Amino acid sequence: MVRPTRRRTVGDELRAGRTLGDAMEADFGHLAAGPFADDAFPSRLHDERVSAVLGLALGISFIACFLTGLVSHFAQQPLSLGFLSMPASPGWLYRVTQGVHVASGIAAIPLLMVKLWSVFPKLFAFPAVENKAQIVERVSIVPLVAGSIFQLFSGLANTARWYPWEFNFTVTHYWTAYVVIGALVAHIGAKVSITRRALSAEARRAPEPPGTGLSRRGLFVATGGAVAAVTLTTVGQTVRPLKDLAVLAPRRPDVGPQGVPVNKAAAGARVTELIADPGYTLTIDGRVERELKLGLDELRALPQHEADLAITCVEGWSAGAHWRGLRVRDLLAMAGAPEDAEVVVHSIQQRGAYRSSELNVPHARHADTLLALELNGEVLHVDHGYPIRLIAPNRPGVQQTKWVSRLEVI
Amino acid sequence: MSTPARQAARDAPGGPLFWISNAIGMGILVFGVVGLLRHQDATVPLNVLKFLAGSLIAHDALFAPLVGLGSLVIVRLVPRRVRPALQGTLIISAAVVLISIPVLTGRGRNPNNPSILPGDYGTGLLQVLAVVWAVGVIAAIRALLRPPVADDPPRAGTLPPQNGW
Repeated sequence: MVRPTRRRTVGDELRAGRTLGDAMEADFGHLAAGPFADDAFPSRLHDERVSAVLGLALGISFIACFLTGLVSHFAQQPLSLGFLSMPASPGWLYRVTQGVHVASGIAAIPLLMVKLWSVFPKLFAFPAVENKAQIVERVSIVPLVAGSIFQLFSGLANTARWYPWEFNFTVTHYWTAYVVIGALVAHIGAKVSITRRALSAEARRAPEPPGTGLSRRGLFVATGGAVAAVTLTTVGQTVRPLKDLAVLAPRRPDVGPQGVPVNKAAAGARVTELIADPGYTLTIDGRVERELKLGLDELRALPQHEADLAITCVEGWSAGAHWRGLRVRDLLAMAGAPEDAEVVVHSIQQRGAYRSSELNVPHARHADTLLALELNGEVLHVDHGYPIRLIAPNRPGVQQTKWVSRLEVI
Repeated sequence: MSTPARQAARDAPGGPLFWISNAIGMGILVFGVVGLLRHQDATVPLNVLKFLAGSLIAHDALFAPLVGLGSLVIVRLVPRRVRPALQGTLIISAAVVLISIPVLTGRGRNPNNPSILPGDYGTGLLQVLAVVWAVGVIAAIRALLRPPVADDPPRAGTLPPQNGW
């Protein structure tokens, strides 16, 4: 490790009259020993305390990301989930969990980048394993690292609607999450004693390792700065007071028709002609005493209710808005639906994975669950679901069905 | 560094905690793999495998070696006092560049929905980098102006040089 004298640089050698080839050899020749040499990674930051602190931060962000991801997954499932079924209140819950999901994933990117750098020399450790357990441990690093990069990349790309792959994002991101979290649980078990030692009060008081360049504390400040930078430039897509800083976010919470972003436009959903039909009706059927068919004029003549509710996209943006329309529970009562009615909300859309959604009992009965006709004081824009859309508290945006044509009570 | 091998041996994993967490972790991992395989119409496992392998190659064979090469150059060209500020600035810059790649591609843009990717992300990225580098320059100048203090590393020559990969 310790070299006896200061290494002369290429410049020193050239000034001393050596040829370029010899000068290069003198300065860089030792690199020929390759990354397996003892002194191949001389930075003082390849250090167990660095890896432990970054590992802890990364572990927390991954667990937050995983749990909020599960919330979002179950919020998008059909209703027969029992206690896993999404409550209708608090109305802000999904907005927070999904904001945390995307923000913690983005924050994990610099954490993972620096963490992998800090442990990179271990890839070339020799002897590669000390015991049987370490064979298992080193093998489980492969799905951990590959899966982590895969999840962060695919998640980030999805927020920007970039799909350079063939698989279905939602399904694949969900199942791969278990691969990563499983490998993480195994990794925590393998590293818990080193981590405890490296995070102890004694290790915290220990002096910085000798050497030049960034100190350990400096690296933590820089990594924290990187987390702050990527967060501040994106989180405004859901935290509105920070929207003007969100120059790298794929959405602005105030950019879109009527000042609200859109996930699927009317043209993309191929409903432009269907919703222009003057005979547009809303049907309420299924488990009801009397089927109803209501035209738009009849719907506008019914008592209207107002609510402030956020559209919260699974992709991490959200936008609060003021909605006006009919309470779903009033419509259910008109049709004579039972108290325990669950509702499938159908769109007039002919194609697309999200052309219907389901309301569980708490959502169907909530006073703020509306079939909205107006947004921010104007008739709904076609891209927001004109003439009628569902808007309910604490729900992913893809479940806020647009261009509603039918409430099917089940 | 006289006992690196013994240290490594002491730190090698093992014990009941390791095996229990490994069993639980591998159970969760297998659950995920089975899920991926059972939904192969949606997950296209071969394509996923390609991206998983690509993730490893992109980091281990591309990104990490490039960082190493960059360090090799910086250690030789940049004055020692400026180096910490430069390292910090580069870490933050790399993070910001990495997270803006998907929006910079603009591949998600959709003519019938202008609320997707509404920004000019090239300009946005340059603005962010300008702020980051301005802070970096201030930190570097402060480091240059700061008088030497007791816990400063000694002058070059008395410490082993920082060469290597």
